[in-house]
Amino acid sequence: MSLLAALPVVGSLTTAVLLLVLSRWPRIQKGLALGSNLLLFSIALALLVEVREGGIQVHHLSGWPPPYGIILVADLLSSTLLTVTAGVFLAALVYSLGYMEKESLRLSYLPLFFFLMTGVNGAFLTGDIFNLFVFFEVMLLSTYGLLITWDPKGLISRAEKLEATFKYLILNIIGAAVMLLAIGTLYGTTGTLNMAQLSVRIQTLRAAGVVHIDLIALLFVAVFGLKAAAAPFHFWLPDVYTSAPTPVSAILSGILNKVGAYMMIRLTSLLFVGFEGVSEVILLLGLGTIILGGVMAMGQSDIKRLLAYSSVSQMGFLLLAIGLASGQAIAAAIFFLVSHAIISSMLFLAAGGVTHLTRERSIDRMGGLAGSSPFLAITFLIGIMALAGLPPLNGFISKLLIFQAIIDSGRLLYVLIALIGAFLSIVYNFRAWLDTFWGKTRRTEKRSLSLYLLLPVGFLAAISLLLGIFPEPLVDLVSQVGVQATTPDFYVEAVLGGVT
Amino acid sequence: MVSFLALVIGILFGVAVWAIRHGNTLRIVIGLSILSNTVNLMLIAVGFKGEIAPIIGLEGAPADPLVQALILTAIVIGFGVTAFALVLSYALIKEEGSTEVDAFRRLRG
Repeated sequence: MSLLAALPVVGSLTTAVLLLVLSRWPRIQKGLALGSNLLLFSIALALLVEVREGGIQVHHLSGWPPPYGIILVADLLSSTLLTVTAGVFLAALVYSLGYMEKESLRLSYLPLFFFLMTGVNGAFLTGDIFNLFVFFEVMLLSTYGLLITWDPKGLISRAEKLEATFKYLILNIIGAAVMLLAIGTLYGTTGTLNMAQLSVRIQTLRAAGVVHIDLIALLFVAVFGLKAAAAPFHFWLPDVYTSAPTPVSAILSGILNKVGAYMMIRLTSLLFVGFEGVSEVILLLGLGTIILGGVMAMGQSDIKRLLAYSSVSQMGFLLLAIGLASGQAIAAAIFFLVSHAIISSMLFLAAGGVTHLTRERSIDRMGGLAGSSPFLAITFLIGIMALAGLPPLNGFISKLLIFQAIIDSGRLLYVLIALIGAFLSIVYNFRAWLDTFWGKTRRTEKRSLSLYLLLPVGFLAAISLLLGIFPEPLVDLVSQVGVQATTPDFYVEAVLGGVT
Repeated sequence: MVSFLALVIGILFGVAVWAIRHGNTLRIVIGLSILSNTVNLMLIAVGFKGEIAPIIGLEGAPADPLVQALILTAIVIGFGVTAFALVLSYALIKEEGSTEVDAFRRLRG
């Protein structure tokens, strides 16, 4: 029993409710939001240290022991992701305080922001597969609300926003139905919802020759593929990212599609261990996603849409590493996940700064911004260099680890395809930077960005650079995470402690 | 009883898919609502192991109470999402001046 494991969920939920109550006092509300986000960040850090030293932390909700009650489990994988989540949310929160319109910030944006955080933290922590469904719905419902929040700069029309949200809503309702179907079938087959117990029973049933478990696993892959925007399910992503308010797109690409990837890791390394067919499907999805996202990104001229497709392509690399499912590959996947969360959210925030300055979304009509805003030019350059995988940034190390994992698994054709994808990412990323910041100056408007908008971008860029120059601590951490995540025995032992 | 449930689930699923495939905004929302209820029925079928209430002291094979708790949760979530979907489609129809999704052409995918 550990109370610390429950705090990320309870803390963000309490904050969300308090923010609703405090909506008549906007100053106190803003202070509370910032303060509790900082607090949640330090809780996540404390949890990470605690898990690293004291092993996996388990919290039994209401004191009901597993397998009867719902449990929250903080292992190294989830506590690493909790820390990243709190960091990216903090950056996005500071940005929103300067970016969003005051009224919508006060009435709906801030409370929904923390409800979203509750959903994400819960999805990372829960050890019960139905509870995961509930947290997914908390997350999605708050996302719908955040998506239709009016963008104050007036660059995105109301109709576009409504259409994108409607598309996202329909897809996710269907996704929820499929997920419930998969959970129901799994429960009917195994008689449990506890993830540790599922892990044990699925192995037993598979050894006894039950074949339809493979189909259930594929249903889950489809659901989490939709969340992670893997190739055939990616088509909602560009529209949604483009029409969302900038800080929300940063969270969507930085954290929300990582939730799908996180569950894919749990699928291949905890629930359905040793299902080669399933891993092979994830690998193929990854390859398709890399190429499709890369090719589509080449043809985009809208700056946010280009970044959206590049984030599709990068998710492909992540899926490729997850599909390999070895300890080394999962460690590479987690390094990639952490660095991409930082880079892509930073790039979306910087792109928001660019559109704010130019009142323009198309990169064909921009140019020469490097002269008037060198800070944005430098941070954006750091971001695209990291995304393209160039040294000395964290993106280089993450790509290196992934290529190493693929080469070690002996799939040379996959290495070739991934190399093509990495090459494409260099081309479209630099095209975006050159068109925006280099060349002829198109507009000379005297507008400046407030500190609220610059600070988060600088913060994330500094972390990206720091992790690129001193990667050893993170590499150490992710190799531990990789070992722990791919050995289901640790998880099962910590949760059940002998009961099966 | 289980085969009767299976038949109902099949028919409802077909109706839901038919309604979603139709290009009318409201019909899509109704179809999605039917779809989520179909899945709830499927969960009932999973837990349908007997017709006796699961109380200690009653004779016979009890129905599984856990899936009923799951369905209650799923119904509440489905209700909330459907309410949001209706409001969103109302705003969308007013904005676009049409109920047909083929008229919504701003997004490319």
